[in-house]
Amino acid sequence: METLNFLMQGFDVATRPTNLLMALFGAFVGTVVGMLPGLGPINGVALLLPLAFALGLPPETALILLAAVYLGCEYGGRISAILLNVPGCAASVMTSLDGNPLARQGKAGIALSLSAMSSFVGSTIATCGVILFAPLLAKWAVAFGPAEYFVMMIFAIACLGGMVGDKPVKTLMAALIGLGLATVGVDSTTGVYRFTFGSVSLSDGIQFIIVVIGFFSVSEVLLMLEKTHSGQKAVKTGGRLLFNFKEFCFSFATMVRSSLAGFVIGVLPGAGATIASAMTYMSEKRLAGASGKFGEGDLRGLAAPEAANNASACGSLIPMLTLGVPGSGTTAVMIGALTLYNITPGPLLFEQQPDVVWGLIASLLIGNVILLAMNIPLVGVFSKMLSVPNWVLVPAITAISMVGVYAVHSTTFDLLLMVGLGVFGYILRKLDFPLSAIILGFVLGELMEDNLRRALSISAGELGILWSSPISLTLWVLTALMLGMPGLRWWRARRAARAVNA
Amino acid sequence: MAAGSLWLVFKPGQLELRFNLQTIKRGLLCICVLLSYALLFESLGFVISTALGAFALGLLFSGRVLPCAISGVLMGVVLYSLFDLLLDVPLPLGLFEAFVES
Repeated sequence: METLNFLMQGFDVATRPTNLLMALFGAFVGTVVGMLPGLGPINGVALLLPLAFALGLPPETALILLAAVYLGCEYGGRISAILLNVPGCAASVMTSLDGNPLARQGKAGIALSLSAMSSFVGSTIATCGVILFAPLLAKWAVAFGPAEYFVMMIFAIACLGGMVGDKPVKTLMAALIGLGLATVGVDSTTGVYRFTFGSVSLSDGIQFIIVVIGFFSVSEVLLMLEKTHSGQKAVKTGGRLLFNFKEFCFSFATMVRSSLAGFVIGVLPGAGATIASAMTYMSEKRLAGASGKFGEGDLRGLAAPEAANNASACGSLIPMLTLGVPGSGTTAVMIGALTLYNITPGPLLFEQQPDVVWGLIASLLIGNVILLAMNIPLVGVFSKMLSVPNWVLVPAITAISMVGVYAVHSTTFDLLLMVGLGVFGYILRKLDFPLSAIILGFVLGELMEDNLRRALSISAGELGILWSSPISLTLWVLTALMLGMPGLRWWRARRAARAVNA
Repeated sequence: MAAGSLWLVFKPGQLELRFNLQTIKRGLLCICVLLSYALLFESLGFVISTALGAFALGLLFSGRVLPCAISGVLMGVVLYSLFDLLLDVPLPLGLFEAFVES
């Protein structure tokens, strides 16, 4: 009951004209950004963050805008995946497997509308999950002290390594690079200058926006130089534009199953939409068995990843809102946005800033309806935008990035730093380091350090406080398990290989 | 760490050149354009530096000369009016400063 009251309060916030307008704007921008190949939710959020800040939007409005962009990206990725066979963002790779064959069979309209519907089902189910579980988790997490937080963040980083799978060492290294970047600047407790090399511009640390824009937008520009895919023709949307009732029923069970799975995966810190969509696609394929035409245009193969990636996007808001630990790269950026407003995400957020939290949750529901309403009739408009040539797109991305970074401090140094970080990010990407792990590390770095410092000052420097409570002990054990997982998987794979050879 | 990196350097069979000369050249050019864009951002002002930067980047991304020039100038003017005038994000005027009385 209490939750319902809060939810109504949230709807009050979310239906204010500015907030509705921002949700609409964010949904639109998100869809476009998600659709353009190469630009994902992180880029979208990163590009709009400085704008939101510079506009002086209140925190709840800014968060609503960013969340709408996030959801919109998950919607938009499917358009280019289906029509061009080029996934608009990493999470829609799986969508193209069955979506593009469908489009080639002349069923592009059905594919687009059905995938929009599954996105809608996915995010709605996951938002209900957020409404049910987030307050509970927040209540429970209030018991966390600084020591527990510190261990929690170590667990989050370990999760990254354990979940991202094929390259655990690189992921951990990337997270450590992020942690390292976070140490630059004045030490908040002692006032010592760290790694500033005598530069005044570095004294208050590397600004979050610069890191995000440098790593994602600038390195993306460099990456796009290599694959100038020009002259790609979108498949014409012809025939029936809407799915019929039979097709909906056929894939409904898949949508629900994948949404639930996607939600759970999204809640786990570190594992994001990409993993969720891949996992649900695989399991649906197995469930369908021989009866499925997966890979040749099965509707279920289209519904599963779309429902899952939206569900996990919403699910990843749970650890962000309740624990202050990001569930994905994009939520890491959103945490950064909150800290720009001097709001520390965490369990107390539910008590201190109910407007922000519940406004955000209510706006997810509203944004979802907006996106569904926008996506089915406007598909034609969006697919026209796919033909924007790179020589317009790239300069525009660059100029907006420059504006975003310049808006923070108005110094040339920041712009140069952004380009430098962009080149660094490009090299790391070429070496297959996952950049979202760096962002996660960077965001967690500061929080982690603060909590460690606080814990140690409580215990007067005694390290024992870090494993004295049952909560932190459990978290340590879970961390160890997560770190062991890649090793276990490797060992299993090797054993399986040996069994085959023998 | 040193031993580890040595192992990486001499690790057998993993080294293959993923770059070709053309991409390296374009990549370096692109970095140069971005750096000079950043450097000139304040002194030339947003409109001019963006027009130049967008023009150069457009050419790098295999656009034709005239359309790139037009889109560059348009981008400078439109983005400036959007951000500075409409959204209150202060951007440097640079060379135009002389013409604007504050």
